[in-house]
Amino acid sequence: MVGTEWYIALSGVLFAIGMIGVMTRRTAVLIFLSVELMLNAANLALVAFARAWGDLTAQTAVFIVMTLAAAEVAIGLAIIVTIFRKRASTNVDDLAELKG
Amino acid sequence: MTPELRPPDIALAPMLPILIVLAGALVATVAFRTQRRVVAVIAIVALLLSGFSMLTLWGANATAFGGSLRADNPALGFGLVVIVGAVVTLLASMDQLPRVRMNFPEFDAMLLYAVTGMLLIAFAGDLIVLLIGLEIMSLAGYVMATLYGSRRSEESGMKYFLLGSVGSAILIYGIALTFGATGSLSLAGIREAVSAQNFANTPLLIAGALMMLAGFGFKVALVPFHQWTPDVYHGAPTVVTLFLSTVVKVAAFAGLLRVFGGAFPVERAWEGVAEVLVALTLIVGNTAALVQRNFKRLLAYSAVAHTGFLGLALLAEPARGGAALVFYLLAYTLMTAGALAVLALIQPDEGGVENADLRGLYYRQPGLALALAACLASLAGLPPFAGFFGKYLVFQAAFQAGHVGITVLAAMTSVVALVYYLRPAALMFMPAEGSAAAVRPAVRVGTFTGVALGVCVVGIVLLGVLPGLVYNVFDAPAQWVLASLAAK
Repeated sequence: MVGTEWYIALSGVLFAIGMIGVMTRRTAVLIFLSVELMLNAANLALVAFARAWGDLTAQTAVFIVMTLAAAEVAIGLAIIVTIFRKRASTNVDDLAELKG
Repeated sequence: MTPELRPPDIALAPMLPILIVLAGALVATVAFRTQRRVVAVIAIVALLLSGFSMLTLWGANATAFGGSLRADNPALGFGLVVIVGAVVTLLASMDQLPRVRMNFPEFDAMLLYAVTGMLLIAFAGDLIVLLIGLEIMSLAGYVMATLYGSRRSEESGMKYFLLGSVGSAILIYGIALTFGATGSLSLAGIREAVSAQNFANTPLLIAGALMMLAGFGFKVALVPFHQWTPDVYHGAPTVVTLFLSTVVKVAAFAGLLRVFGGAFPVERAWEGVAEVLVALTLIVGNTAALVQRNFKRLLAYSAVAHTGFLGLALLAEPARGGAALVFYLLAYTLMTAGALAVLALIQPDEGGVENADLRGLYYRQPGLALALAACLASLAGLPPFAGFFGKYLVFQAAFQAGHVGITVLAAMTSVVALVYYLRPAALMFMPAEGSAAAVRPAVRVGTFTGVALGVCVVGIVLLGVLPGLVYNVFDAPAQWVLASLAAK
């Protein structure tokens, strides 16, 4: 049987990959994908900890986080599509009208 | 053997304020064919009813869902500040939104959903409830920032969304780690585990607390998580900026106080980090505001700087800091809302006005100029306005908790703040010869905006002259400590 620490290590790696993606990727869709990866890393950690503590509350929390992620996708894609319609680009470096 | 079925602990009373606002939001969602004015009035009525129901809950310490939702006095205090800010936003929007062709009821629906989320944050007794509230508030906020169909508004919405969702993801990971360390998601449970030194892994707990601090840092614009703030506040329609910079910040601070004042009061490892972040926020916010030439952007940086001042209250003991925080948040909401409501009236477009164009405003619109001057003086922390007592109370709370260095730093940066607030204020009273703005026709102040400005100005003067009216209500240390222990 695999110990809890391995799950947590994997979730930490997933979270780090997501974080690196957020910082290095330049298009809105890929940044957003990286954020989703971070959310799923948190879900994995929650499930692993729930098993370690023998407590189901965190498992239900995972369902809530998944729902939140879905709602975020709906709003996020709507905003990305709005931007794309006007600029034909989702590169975040093009969003530079507001500065200072 | 049949498992014992326990009926869920559902109590309607503590949920009532939230349900009323939610019902208003649903009505506003369904009523998209109705005139916006009607929907806005319905929204205001829903908010006022919700505020009234909070008053009836005062002192009752009601809880629901086994302590996951609790309407104790601190929660009601934050909730009432949220209601005040939201009502002022709606009043200011009644006259302003038709002028910028943003006159659709979706604005009111989104605003009410955001308020629903904020009340959930304030009433949360559980990290999951807190998270749900925070997300409802943030998602509605992203939409509001994007609502205006201009390139700037869309850019501001996109930046808000991307950075806000990163903040949420970090916060959720922090929640997961905190659960891993303490085995509990309720604030009272975490507090118990931390006080009893009964947790699995200290590094895990500290990492969880710090990630939650970072996640909240994105929402309240703590430096270095503040980068989105000036762009979003500058690009969003001014009425939306008013909402985002006041009410959203109140709710995020309510969450911060719940978690760091309520759940982690003993394990103070986060405190050193928080102190550094608050110090950075004070320095960056105030110096950046000093060099702004656009008035709307200046107010955006002023919002960052005020996050620093508000953060001082978090460093203090929750029993003292809590009351100071509620007072400062109320004062901050009124004075920022007043300044932005005036800006919404006098700006030629949604980009705000240049500082130089404020020259001679007093000779064109004496009433507006005086209201704006009062708000700016209060933001700068001058007596006899509310901002002075707000600053005094948070400085005192932080000082008494032993944070001497940072209190001195805050006092020094508030001197810098005097410069950038009083410069535009002084410009308004200088004659306007040769400035382009002088030829612009005077705007008519509508009834609703007049009421909103009246509420703000009377509020900051009243709180400045008689601060005890509000402060004494919250200045009972016991209620801030009980806030997290009551649910056991």
